[in-house]
Amino acid sequence: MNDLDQLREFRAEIPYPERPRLSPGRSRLLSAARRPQRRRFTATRRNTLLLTATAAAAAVAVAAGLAGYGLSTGNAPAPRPSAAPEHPAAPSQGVLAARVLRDASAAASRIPPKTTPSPGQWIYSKLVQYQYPQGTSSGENWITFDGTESAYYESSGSPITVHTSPTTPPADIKSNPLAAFNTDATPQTAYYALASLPTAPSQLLAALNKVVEAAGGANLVAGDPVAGQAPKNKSQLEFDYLSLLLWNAAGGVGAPPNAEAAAFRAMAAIPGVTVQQGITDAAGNPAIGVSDDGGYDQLLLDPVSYQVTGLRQLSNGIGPKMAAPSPQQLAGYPKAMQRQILRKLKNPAGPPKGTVIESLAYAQVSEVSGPGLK
Amino acid sequence: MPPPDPEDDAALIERSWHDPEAFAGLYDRHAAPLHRYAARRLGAGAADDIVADTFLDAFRKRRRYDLTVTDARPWLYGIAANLIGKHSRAEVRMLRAYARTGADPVLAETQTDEADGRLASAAVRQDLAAALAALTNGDRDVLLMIAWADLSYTEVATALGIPVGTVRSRLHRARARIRAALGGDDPTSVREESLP
Repeated sequence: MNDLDQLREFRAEIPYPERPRLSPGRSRLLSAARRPQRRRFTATRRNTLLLTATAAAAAVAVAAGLAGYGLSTGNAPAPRPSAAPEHPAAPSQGVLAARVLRDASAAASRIPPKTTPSPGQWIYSKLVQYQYPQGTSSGENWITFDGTESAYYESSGSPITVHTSPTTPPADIKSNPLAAFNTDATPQTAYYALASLPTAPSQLLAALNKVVEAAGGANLVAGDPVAGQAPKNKSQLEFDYLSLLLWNAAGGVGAPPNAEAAAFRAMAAIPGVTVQQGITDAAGNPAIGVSDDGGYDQLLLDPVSYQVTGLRQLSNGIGPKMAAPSPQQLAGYPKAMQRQILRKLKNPAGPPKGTVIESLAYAQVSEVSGPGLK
Repeated sequence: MPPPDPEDDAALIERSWHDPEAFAGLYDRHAAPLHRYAARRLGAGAADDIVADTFLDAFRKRRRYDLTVTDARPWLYGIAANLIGKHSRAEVRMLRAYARTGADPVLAETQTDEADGRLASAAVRQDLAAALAALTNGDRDVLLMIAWADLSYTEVATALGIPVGTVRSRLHRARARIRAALGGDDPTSVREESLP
């Protein structure tokens, strides 16, 4: 018997747990899953942007592979280098967008700077979420500034559950704040990531471009027809990344005012930015939607204070439809791609173009002295 | 068309992106072995919390899961390793107590039958406990993931976020210490395990 065998018998009499022993953990998991909101927004858009290089490459391979096998993409619109809107923005749109964002920048720079919160500062937030076709739900959440601890009620009347994350904050929070944000979107990583960006718009956008490149630039530009993700140009990807930084900061303590002002200034300098006025966020408040893809992915601002209040995604109508591959063709793909293909075949069309498919808004965010307090 | 493949972990996690409760399926698959692994290191009470926290953390991070990895165990054991690492002083303390007294605090927590005949003698077990206590946390993680969780070198590398070469060197170092503690210089015992 070698050393590993002896080691395998060490404490081998410890049994597998009985089911009752595991059920409290399962209940905690399920109640987390049933809470109406995600703790942090890491939904489709971020997912789109931060696809791992392999996944993005795989997505491209599927597209290329289907063509190679002579499969038609049916009625799906041909990928365009820029996801042009169905209702192209009027020329004055760019001017209007620039004005709104300049006002937002000015509003941010008028906010007196505060000291950076301590890592353990608790933040309460109430998030309202609309999802197509389920509807609207809302949830309350507490999280520390550094994201190490979070808390929520499993159900009304139950004691508050506090969860400690073993993997936050990321180790490179100070040395590489953008990478830290990509690893874990917390109030602190969003705060430091925004604070770390240059203040000059051109330099700020160049820094974002590097992040987009690192996340798989060319593949992201190509989009993912199988997943129904529209192609995006570099500017649009930079816009998406910047709006996610601002959104995640908004769910915490924001960013240092000068950093937020710089972010809005840079946003105004992104080609193709448009605004949609007179819309309503998920919490029912008036909002301005800022977008760089003709209004499909929007960052929502309060029309008076210009604070970031929400995110909204409209269907771009790109529901890929493809001819069914033969069993042999299908078997030629890796399992993960087979699943994507089968799912798309089963469910070819997305909601009609222009349908709001997801809308998120913070109804309230405040610094509090502990979990459960508002 | 071939039948859809039985849903692997990656598919289940991907489904949970849109159907969060599906994530409970991952718990049903992996919670029991993970619990036993944690219980062997820290006792059943600590394992309860480690398992619950591991899955809650995994759930929070499910959208960043690399869907090309069909087996979620490396991911889950990696999260658990972080949590277990927070208890490393307690782990070492219990191992040392076992080595010193012959009474294992971890076993004392669990209702078990009498040790069966296959088990090494008490003295050997005390030596093992002392050797495990003397390992660095990183070396112990690698050794026990391989011996107790049956992960491959590559899976351990994924779990701990370290290169496979580092897994090999850590394992080599840890096994050398274990062998030294067991007093065995039998060359047949140093063969490489064939691992998946």
